[in-house]
Amino acid sequence: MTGEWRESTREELHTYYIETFPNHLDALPSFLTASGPKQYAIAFREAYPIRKQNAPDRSFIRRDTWQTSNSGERTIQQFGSVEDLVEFIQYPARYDPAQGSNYALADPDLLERPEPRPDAVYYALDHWERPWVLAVDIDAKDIAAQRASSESSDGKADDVGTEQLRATGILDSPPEGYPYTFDDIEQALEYGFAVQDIFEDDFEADETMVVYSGQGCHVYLLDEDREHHYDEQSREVINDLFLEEYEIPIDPVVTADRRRVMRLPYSIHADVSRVVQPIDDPGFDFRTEATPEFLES
Amino acid sequence: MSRDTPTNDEYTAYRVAALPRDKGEFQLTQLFERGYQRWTVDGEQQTEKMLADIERFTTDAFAPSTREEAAERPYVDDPGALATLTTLGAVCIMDHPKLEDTPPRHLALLGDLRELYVNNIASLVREYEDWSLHQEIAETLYAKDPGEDGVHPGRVCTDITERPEFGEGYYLEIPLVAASRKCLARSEGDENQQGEIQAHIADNHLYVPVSDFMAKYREYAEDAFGRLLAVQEEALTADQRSWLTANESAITDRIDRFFQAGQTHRVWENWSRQKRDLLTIINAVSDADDDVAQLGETQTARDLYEAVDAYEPKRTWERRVCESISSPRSLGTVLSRNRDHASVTVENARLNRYTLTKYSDGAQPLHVDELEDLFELPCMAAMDERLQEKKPVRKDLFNLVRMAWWLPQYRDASTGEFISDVKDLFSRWPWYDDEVTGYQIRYELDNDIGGEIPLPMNCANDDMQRYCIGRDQCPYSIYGSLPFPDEMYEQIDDQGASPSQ
Repeated sequence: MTGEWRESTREELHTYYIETFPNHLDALPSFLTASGPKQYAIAFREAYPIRKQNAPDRSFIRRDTWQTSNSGERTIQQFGSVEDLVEFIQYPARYDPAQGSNYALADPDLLERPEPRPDAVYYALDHWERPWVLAVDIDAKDIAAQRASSESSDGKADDVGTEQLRATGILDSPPEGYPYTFDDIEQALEYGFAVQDIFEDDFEADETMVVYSGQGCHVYLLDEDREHHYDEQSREVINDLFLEEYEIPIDPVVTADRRRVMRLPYSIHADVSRVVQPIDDPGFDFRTEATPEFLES
Repeated sequence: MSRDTPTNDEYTAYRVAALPRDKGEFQLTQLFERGYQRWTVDGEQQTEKMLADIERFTTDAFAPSTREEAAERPYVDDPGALATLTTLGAVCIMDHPKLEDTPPRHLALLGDLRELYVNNIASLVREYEDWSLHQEIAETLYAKDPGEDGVHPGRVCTDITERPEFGEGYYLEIPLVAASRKCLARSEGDENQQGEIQAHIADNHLYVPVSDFMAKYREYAEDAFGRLLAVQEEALTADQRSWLTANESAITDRIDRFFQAGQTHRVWENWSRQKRDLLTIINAVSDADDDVAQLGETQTARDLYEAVDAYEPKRTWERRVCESISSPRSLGTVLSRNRDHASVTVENARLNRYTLTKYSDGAQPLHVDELEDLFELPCMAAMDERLQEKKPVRKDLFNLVRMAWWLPQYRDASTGEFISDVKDLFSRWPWYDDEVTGYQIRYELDNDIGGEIPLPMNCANDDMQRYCIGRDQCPYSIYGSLPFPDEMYEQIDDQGASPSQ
């Protein structure tokens, strides 16, 4: 059953984060610590109440790693240790670092509904020590949409509809029902390693990382020297170059936005039940090598 | 050690002439000093020689061929002399008795001079062999707008170098951290699409072809010309200025000749929408290959449209006109609307055949020392006649008050002074009543349009049509002949469309 491509259940997510995830902590990239990124974030499948009366329920919460003074100086660390962070991921409502605030998640003991489980876990690219991290997002569904649009008459990739995806056989090819095929994911990974080569060859980067994201990949440029401190205007240039000169279908919004959150390595992409993880080779088989234990058993 | 100034150092002179917008007044004045030295022998200024050179430079600037050739090779070989000739020529144009009330930005002749300056300075820069000049200019042209991280701390352009792997020629080297989209050096794209990226990437740098630098520099220089002119005007004493305009004659003569020949569009930027449409079509036809379309020949709207479609005008308003003419049919509509114009003959409207000739409008300038002078305009004379017979309708009052209010003599006048003069004007009509008229004038003045002072009516206004003698018959145009100030035209620009209140 290792090839199974489906949404994870609540129980499976809970099991994964309680039993498997802590074993991967040592493998997390070194800049991901309890205090390093400016925020961690969790998405839930269903919206969960917060303490403030009459405020809408939340299906996505961001939590700062530090409290700051008015002048932006760091005052109190919100996650005292990696254990705190892990507990927050395992039991977001019980270990919400926003305790005391009206916007903390509601106490699960007081509610007649299940505790929330992370449908996805993110960290902010904006980092206290490394505010210049550059990440490029390559998504299989964008590649599929482009393919579908080039095969159809009007050639517009922006508004490829279900009908078009069905007409080009994408919806009915494995994995069935998803707006891309396995080939599109493979293509995304190939593009990812091409981007890594470009970072190293043309951008003179020493420190790069390709992360399998579940339905595509993220490519990072992590060098910290001044010559790699690309601000928003330079990132727009980088977007244009990737899209037009290298013809790689990256998501330009992610590249330009330094405050973006990215999936945390070794978290689960719950839509497809695959483990997000750094990879070294475009031959990486996401069907077998990213399978969480709950699918293997 | 004394510091280098444009007067004593060639490199500094080039730098200041090339980047006048970023330099202080002192340096620009020194640049003019350098220019004046050109006409100084043994400490004595050769004023006659200088005047002759200003006259020749300025009248040559009126010829398109001179301006174009200067883009290929410099017409004047020294940046100081160039700055001096251009700005003093501009002063002579602005002080021409028929033009002194026209805002400089609406003087087409100043545009000619600016074009010659831009083409000339661009040629000088291109030929200058010290690459550090290009590098300094590139720092200005390609600098990032300040972002959330502040200004980029290092150099924007770190080198100018050859990169054979990207093709022939020189490239500006710009670190990717210093780059913004303007460094991508895109080719000119279609209407809806961006042009292709011309810059290359290697070693964490962008390599931008020098050709893009020259194109961007020309845009910069157009804008920078105004600063040069402002500093020159500041530096000239009243005596020097009047000596200059009293002694030059060639420029005045040439301008007078434009007027005599009815070539007022050569003198002024054209302000009537219809005239602009027609002038653009005629310019496109003159520019087109003979086998496409030509002046003086009968041709179809389709042929003429082909000429407009192929036309690549530099002036923004011409570009806008070209965009608005989207088919032979819309071109035909423009020409039919202008069928009474001297330059248009509709040979056969059904078959869409037209003959166009060289453009000539006849908008004579009109001086208004006394408000009565307004009645030299035939439409206003007709209105005067009607008001002798009948009481005014509100539009007539509105029109007179607005037209008068925008005249230069009232821009700084008090309301009281203005009302008193307008009342004097109104007292010529039998229905005049001191109190009622005073109230009516005040009422018009208090009525603004969303905080903006209403514009005077122009020739295209429907309410003017009652008095209009026909624009083909009329030697004037309200917006072209009356000396309205800059703010009025700016208001037209802001409103975007042909004004019609």
